[in-house]
Amino acid sequence: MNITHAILLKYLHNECSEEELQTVNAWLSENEENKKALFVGEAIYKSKKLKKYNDPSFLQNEKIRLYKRIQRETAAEKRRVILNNLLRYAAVIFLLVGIGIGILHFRSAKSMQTIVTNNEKVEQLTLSDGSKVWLNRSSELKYPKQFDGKKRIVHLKGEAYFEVTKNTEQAFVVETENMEITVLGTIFDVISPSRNEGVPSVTLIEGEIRVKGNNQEGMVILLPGQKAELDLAAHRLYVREPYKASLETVWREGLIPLNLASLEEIGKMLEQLYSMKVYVDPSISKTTYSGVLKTQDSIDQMLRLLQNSIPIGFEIKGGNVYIKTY
Amino acid sequence: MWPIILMIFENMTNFDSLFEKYYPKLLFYATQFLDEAEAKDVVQDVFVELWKRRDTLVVGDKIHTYLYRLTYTKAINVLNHKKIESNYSKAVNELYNHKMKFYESESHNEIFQEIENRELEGEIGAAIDKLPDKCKEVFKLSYLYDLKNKEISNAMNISQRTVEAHIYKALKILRKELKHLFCFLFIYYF
Repeated sequence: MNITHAILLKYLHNECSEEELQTVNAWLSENEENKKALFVGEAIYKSKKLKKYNDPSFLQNEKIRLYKRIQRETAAEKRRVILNNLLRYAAVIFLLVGIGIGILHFRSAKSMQTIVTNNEKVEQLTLSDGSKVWLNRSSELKYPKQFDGKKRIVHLKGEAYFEVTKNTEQAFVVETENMEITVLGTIFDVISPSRNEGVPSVTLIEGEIRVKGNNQEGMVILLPGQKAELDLAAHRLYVREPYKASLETVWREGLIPLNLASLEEIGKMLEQLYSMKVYVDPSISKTTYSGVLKTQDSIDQMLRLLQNSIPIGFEIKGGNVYIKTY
Repeated sequence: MWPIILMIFENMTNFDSLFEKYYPKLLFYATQFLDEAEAKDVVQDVFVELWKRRDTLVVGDKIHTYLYRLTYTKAINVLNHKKIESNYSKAVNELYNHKMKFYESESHNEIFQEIENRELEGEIGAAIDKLPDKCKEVFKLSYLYDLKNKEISNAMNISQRTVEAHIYKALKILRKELKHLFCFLFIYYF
């Protein structure tokens, strides 16, 4: 059976009469070849539209439409969560009225502790669930004496290193000014700088965490070694790749894993650790090293230790440190 | 069930670039079943779903197949709904059935990749430009502007028969000009 081009053309223009369509159907039923010919032909015929679909301003409009819809749906989800919380508080209040005496106990359990570190010392503390926190210099951590409810929530300003006790029933949540980090038992490092002092970031050492921006920057899941950085200006969460991770945790007492760290990066880390200005000879600043170092009491001892594995020379003069070729 | 490999949306940029890369392709794909407005809604749906699942899903290098399959399912859904709602004639229903069956096979997704990659539009445009003047004008109105033969005949003040003759002639020339293209697609896939 043959089909006329007039009919095919009408088909492409959606102008076929019922009778003509029957002819097309009969022809299609004959064999696979005919189907391929018609449908691929139709696709090719319609491919003229691709130019429009690929047009940047068309795409931009469609993207805006999509993001508006996503925003609406996210808002609806949030409302549901708030409603759930309201119901829970309602239940708690009811319970309190009923028990009465429980109030005091409840309040003390709920009461928040605050720990603030000065410029000199790192504090280590163990929370009621056994999780360990190393709070870096000039930082602040608020935490409840006793964790209750569905989440273990702490508030952080500054930088802290967490080793969270695993409890899948009760997620561990670190709230900071810009981000919210949700954990189910893991090790990670959070930096939440005060205004304009740096980039809020989270580095994951072990396990799995979820990081969420507080201003709709979206949400990421980190893999061990990865670091999430919040770009406040662009409202975006970025994920940085592994090797820098080790340096983030350096201030914690103990071991410093160096993984392809450049001398420049090591110098910066030493500056932070010992509050001294460190200058690295540009000719060697890009050289990278891997290994594990143990922190020492002074920068002098530290550099001597470094010399064991890295061929460098150094000089300490007037509060400044100069690292140069050996 | 569809094989799903865990992938993590690293950040919004990732979602953005997925959108830019796949939106035009999926829209084009969906217009094989639906008109443009309906197709747009379907593809928007696909991306909303992708967004909702962004931290539990998704499909590393299978993302391409996954998105086409999702678009297909959603488009078919709309189509089936329309079939019931608008009470299509028997012939229209049968035609859609042929088409759905045809596109059910995954290998046909690749036709779309090929159509994209070949930049057919340029090739077709160049071939159209080679047509004789009058013939080209008629064909462009028909093909590029989707005018009906009757509208062309009114616009150009020529009879419908003449319009048909021009288009017939144009197609004949184009078939020859674009032979390599059809051959390529057909040999490659069938």
